[in-house]
Amino acid sequence: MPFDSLREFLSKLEAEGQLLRIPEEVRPEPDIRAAAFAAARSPSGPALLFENIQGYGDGKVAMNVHGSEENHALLLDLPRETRFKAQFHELVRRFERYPIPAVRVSDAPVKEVIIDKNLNLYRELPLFRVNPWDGGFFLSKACTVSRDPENPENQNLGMYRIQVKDHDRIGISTGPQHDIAVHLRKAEEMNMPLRVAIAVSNEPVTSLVASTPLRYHEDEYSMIGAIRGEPAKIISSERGNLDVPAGAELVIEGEILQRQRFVEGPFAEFTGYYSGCCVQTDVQVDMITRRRNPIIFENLYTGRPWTESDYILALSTGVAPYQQMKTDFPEIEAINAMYTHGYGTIISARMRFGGFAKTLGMRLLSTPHGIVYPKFIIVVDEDIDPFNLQEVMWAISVRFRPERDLVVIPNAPGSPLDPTSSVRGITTKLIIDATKPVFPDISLSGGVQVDVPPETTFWLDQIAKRRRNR
Amino acid sequence: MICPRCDSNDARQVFEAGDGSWKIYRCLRCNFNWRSSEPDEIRDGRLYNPLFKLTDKRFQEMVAKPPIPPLRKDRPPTC
Repeated sequence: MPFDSLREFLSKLEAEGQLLRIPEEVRPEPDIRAAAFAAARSPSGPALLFENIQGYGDGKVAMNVHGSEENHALLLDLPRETRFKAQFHELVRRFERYPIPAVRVSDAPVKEVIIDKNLNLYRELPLFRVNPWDGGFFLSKACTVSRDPENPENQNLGMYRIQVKDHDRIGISTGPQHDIAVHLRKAEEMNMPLRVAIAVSNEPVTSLVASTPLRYHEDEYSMIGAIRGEPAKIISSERGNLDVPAGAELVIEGEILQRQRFVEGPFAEFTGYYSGCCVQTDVQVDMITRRRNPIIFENLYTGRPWTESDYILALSTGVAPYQQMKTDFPEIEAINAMYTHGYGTIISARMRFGGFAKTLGMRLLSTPHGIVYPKFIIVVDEDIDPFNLQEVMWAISVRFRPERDLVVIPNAPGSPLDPTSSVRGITTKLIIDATKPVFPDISLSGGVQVDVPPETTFWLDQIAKRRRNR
Repeated sequence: MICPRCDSNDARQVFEAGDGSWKIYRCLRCNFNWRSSEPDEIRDGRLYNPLFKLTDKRFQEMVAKPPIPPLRKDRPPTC
């Protein structure tokens, strides 16, 4: 059964040994960030629930909820030991069920307390500084809902960094590649504020989809339903015409102040580097709805990989380009876009003819996510698991011919957050063809490849069973 | 109160913990927020990391993200 709230999922994680409660008093800084970083680096990294945060009374903080292969399997309602490659193919199968439209409910715990005056975000959430040189206290995992002011049937749910600046004032960072930037541009062209609702602490598939690069016209709630296998539950915002996740702990409502920009940032991003300090948009908050206390504030540690951010941006980042490319090139087996939100992407595929790997690499660069994010692309044969770096490195070591298989594309569109860019938003792309050359290319002269012993699967199973029974 | 990041005199207290264990301050100029329980290098402008200090020059160089688009000519401004 899919989960309807963060709390339900935390219970599941606890039952599976994937949640660690921290009952001792911790300092908001630096304890939460350090523990969250350590959790994602631990084998089978657990979620952490901080139950006693200095100065925050009964407020709780949940970290690393998506932060391991096991937690990612469990949020998909799969056995905890399901490996990434199998999870990827299961996600692909579920994406194909799209759309499963959301159902609207009339009541939910997120409406238990409705606050429309004397708003105070510092009181409502146990805030903390995620990294030392961040410009303030950020909500790094909240999901923002907005609508296209011209075509209101187009609603978007996205995960953007949010900086708490005052009791009732927050900054929101939107990139030109984000759907909300289209809504904002239209609102600003018409000199109108843009209404937003920001859902904090959600059931885990909501966060997964909010950080997935869907197409502009695709509805995130219908994708949440497709992945869950049953409809997402939504409830109407108090003001405006927005659908918010019914399972959220807390929802912040307000409007983006049009045609004004305010100092925002920096923030330690998924690249492992701090963003710059820019002037960006602010939201004037006019409403908060929430569960009764105690609130669980779920946040995301971002910083030097490997962090929870790399898990939540992992498999779903590869599924969308996989589907888009599979239509033209059915030879594609899997795409692993786990490295810095796809800056590094590995494609595995059967080779149709010589040079085909280059075709696939360049096709990735014309998918919506691929236009900006991928910086180096490795293409491997279908016998290589792209989620197994030992196999990928072997393929590069023995199948890649630098003089023939390296493609460099200078001055291409790039991620504005890439610290190597000398011009923000412009980068050089690299394709490494680590496939065995096939006709009409010249085949490898270096002998015959050694087969995997066919009985290996039997013995893998035997070894696992015998170790368990020891 | 002086902001440790931009050194302006426009900072003020915005919140205090229920048990009094810390206070939060906000700079009205650069929106920096900090907590009284954080280390000295966050709270003290003389110790704040120079790579992240905001000078007048850096304020002037900040780009608008996203850029503010031109108003549409076919629709009069609402205010």
